[in-house]
Amino acid sequence: MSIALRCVILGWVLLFISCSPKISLFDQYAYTQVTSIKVDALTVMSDAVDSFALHKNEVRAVDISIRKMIEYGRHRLNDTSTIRQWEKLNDPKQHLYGGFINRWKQKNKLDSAFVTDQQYIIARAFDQIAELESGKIKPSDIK
Amino acid sequence: MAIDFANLFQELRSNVTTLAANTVKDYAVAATVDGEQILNQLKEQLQLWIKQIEEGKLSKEDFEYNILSGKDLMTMVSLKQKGLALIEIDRFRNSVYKIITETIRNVIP
Repeated sequence: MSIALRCVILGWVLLFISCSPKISLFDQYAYTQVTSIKVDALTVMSDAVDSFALHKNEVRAVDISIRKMIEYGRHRLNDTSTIRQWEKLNDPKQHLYGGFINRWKQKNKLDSAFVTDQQYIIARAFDQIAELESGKIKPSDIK
Repeated sequence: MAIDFANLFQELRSNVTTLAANTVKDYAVAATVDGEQILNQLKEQLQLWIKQIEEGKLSKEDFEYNILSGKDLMTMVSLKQKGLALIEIDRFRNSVYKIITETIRNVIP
């Protein structure tokens, strides 16, 4: 193989490698928010042994926080995985946080044991978002 | 001083191959451990829910809902693993870039 051809191949390899990342870089704000919203969501869930109407405002506040994170993710480069996690978590037709709130609204009050069981699962669901974010490459690690 | 391209490419190929093998192996181990940990946690929860039904603390309907929640949690884990796989690709690319530039820097007179 000639030297010129090898230089061309090397050049293309370097160009390929330097293409935009497959996934967004670590974002401290995003990480702080997921941990904060997790606490708010679990706190709101504790109130599900009460009538839903008494806690509409707190429920709305958490819903807005989650929707803000989805919107924030849409403006980050290649953040699809994280956005899909937030959407799954908040979807009222699924069986995580959004589904729990929907169930509470429909039944007005939920049983204490069920609320505790759900808090365990939904806490782990929030952890998946946090663990993905914390696993992302830090901007300072790119040299 | 002429650059020994044959040796350069051989060295690069060897370093990149080793890096790729280690990256895939390390990621596969981490993903498997993570998945098994969540499954074990859900297994413990399932035992708790069965006990709650027996004690009359959990309705059959709520139990079935919990099962569906567990399934959705596994989807969240899967989404996380897909994201982590993409991160490993980016880390691998960054490492290959460093290997190439450092190797070239060392051979250029």
